[in-house]
Amino acid sequence: MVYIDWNLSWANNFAMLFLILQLTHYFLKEFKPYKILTDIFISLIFAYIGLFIDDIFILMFVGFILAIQLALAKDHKLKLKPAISLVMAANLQLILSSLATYIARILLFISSGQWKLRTLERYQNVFIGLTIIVTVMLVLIFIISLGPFRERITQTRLQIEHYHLGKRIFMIVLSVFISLIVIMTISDFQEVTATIQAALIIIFTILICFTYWQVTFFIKTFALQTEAKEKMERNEQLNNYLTLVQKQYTELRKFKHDFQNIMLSLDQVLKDNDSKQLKYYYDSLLHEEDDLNNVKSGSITQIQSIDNDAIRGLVIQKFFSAKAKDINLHFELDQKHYSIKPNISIVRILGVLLDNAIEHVQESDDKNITCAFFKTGNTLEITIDNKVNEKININQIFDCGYSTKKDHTGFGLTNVQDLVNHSQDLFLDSKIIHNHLMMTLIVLGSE
Amino acid sequence: MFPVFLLEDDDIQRQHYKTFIDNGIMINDAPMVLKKAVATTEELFTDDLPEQGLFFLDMEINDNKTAGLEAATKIRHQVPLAQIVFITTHDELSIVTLERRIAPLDYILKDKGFEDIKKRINNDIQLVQVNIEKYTHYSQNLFGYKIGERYFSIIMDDVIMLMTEKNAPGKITLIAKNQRAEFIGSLNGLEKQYNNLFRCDRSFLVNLENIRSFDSSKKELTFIDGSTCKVSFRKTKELTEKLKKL
Repeated sequence: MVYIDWNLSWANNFAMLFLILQLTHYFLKEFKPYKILTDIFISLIFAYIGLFIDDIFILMFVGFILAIQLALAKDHKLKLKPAISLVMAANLQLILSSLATYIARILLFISSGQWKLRTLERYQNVFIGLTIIVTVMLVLIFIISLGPFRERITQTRLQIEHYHLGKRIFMIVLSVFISLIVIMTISDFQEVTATIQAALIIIFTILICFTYWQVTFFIKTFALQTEAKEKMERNEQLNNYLTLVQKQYTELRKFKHDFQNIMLSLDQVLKDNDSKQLKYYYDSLLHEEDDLNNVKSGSITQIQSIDNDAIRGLVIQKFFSAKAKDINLHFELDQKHYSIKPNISIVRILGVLLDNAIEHVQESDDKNITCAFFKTGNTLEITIDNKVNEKININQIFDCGYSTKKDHTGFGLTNVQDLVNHSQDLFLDSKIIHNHLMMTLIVLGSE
Repeated sequence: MFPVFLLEDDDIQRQHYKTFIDNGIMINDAPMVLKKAVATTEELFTDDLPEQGLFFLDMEINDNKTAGLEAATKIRHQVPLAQIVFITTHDELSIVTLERRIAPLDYILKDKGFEDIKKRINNDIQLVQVNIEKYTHYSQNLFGYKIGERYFSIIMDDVIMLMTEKNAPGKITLIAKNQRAEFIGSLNGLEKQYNNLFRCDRSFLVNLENIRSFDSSKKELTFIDGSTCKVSFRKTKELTEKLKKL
């Protein structure tokens, strides 16, 4: 064993805990200046405790923060997103710190030319300093190399939320963390040599990587399975309905065609005849023709041109729920085929926008909503349009918690904004024109 | 004189609309003139289009159901500030798509008869006349941005501010009088491109024309739509000088 001066190991412990917290913030994408102070304070305290109880202090530290989160939560239920982030950060930090220790050790051995543990004790100032620097560098390298995968990680996170897998993921991550701590503590306790401990940790790291890989695989499979099931049910319902609608519209068109022909011939007959009664009936029939022209061309049947099951399913579901409330959800699609890449964010955003429109229109006289899909090259625009009566300030509706309804929380748009912010391919455009509110989601990179 | 254009393939209808437009200009004493009344899109584009104009377009020309739309797309491209009015039958309309693509001034429905068309044409002429008067003493510049393959433009007078937000890296949020949009870009580049906009803080570029008030103790600007932004300490002096000049 190497004996290190207490204030040096305090610094080492502190660096580790502080980095765990910073990694957690990074995962959650929330950096707040005032948090740094509390971070430093907590880390200092637990780093000091760590001087007496070896590696278990990290377990205590994580447990303590989880307990605080639990206590702060409104309904005393653990919020899974921050909890998973914290434990994952702790796992990573444990591995990175051990790796850093070995790297620092080897560097020191090479520079001094003496392969003895004594060297570490003699140059402990340099050793601990070096360890901390290497740890910070490893964390930075990790964050930078994670950059390109950020989008995919966000997608996985959304999937976890969408399918309510948070609890299971948390248990997996937590058990990995506890086993890691147990290995470290036992190897310290048994005074296992550094080489064996290194081997243990490397094997364990490989296992952890494998576990994480398995978890993402598990999420994907689960998502696919659920989607397939929903898709089958949806498709069956949809096909039945669309066939029926199509049939009705064909009949209606046929009737309209005949009607117009008869009216034309009647027109000629009327010119040769001056019966007032006949003219009266003819005029009233002409009015009927106006109503006939108002029959929309069954725009829901066009929805089959959208080549994305989740989006099509959502739109159809909203069409039915609108219909149940006597709201006419009308579609404008200018193309035979839209292929949209699977993206949960799009589905969630459209869901919120359509819900908002339905909710708004429900209490107004003009019960029409239009949903238009419109494409320029690879740029797809999905617009939801509905009439607004009162004067709405377009920028105010994005304020957190704003809602036109009194007893409504109005967090929908905030969530939409959040999802759009997370993606480089999604843009939101909101406009009020001719008393209509037009919310447009612009999607890049669809084919 | 502000030029007016008419595209309609049916001879009788075109004759009617011509009279409606001429009468509308006369009744309102509008500084406008009907420059062209044509039956095909080719004739519309024989000469270069002016920088401004009011266009009445029939949607369906000689059995081509989207001829009017294609003409409108071309006009919008060449004359970003053009005022476009579609005269069309009800069946041909996809209003929301048209709004996104062309943003026309009005749609006139043919099925409602000539009397109604006459009224609507007169209304549109009045509307454009008000716009001409309102905008002569304003700058008629455009603010343009691009998302993917789409170009968007908006009248500079409508721009309130451009800002960056921490949780949306790389994106710029545009706040305008009746619109809120976002696109990819940098405030530094836009500051250079549009001299009339003022950089009052690291993350705000604002249109001083649309300011309602400035609270110098709180270092806060309030705009005509009620939105606010911070002014950095460094820029306060420059701002007060600029505000005096306004």
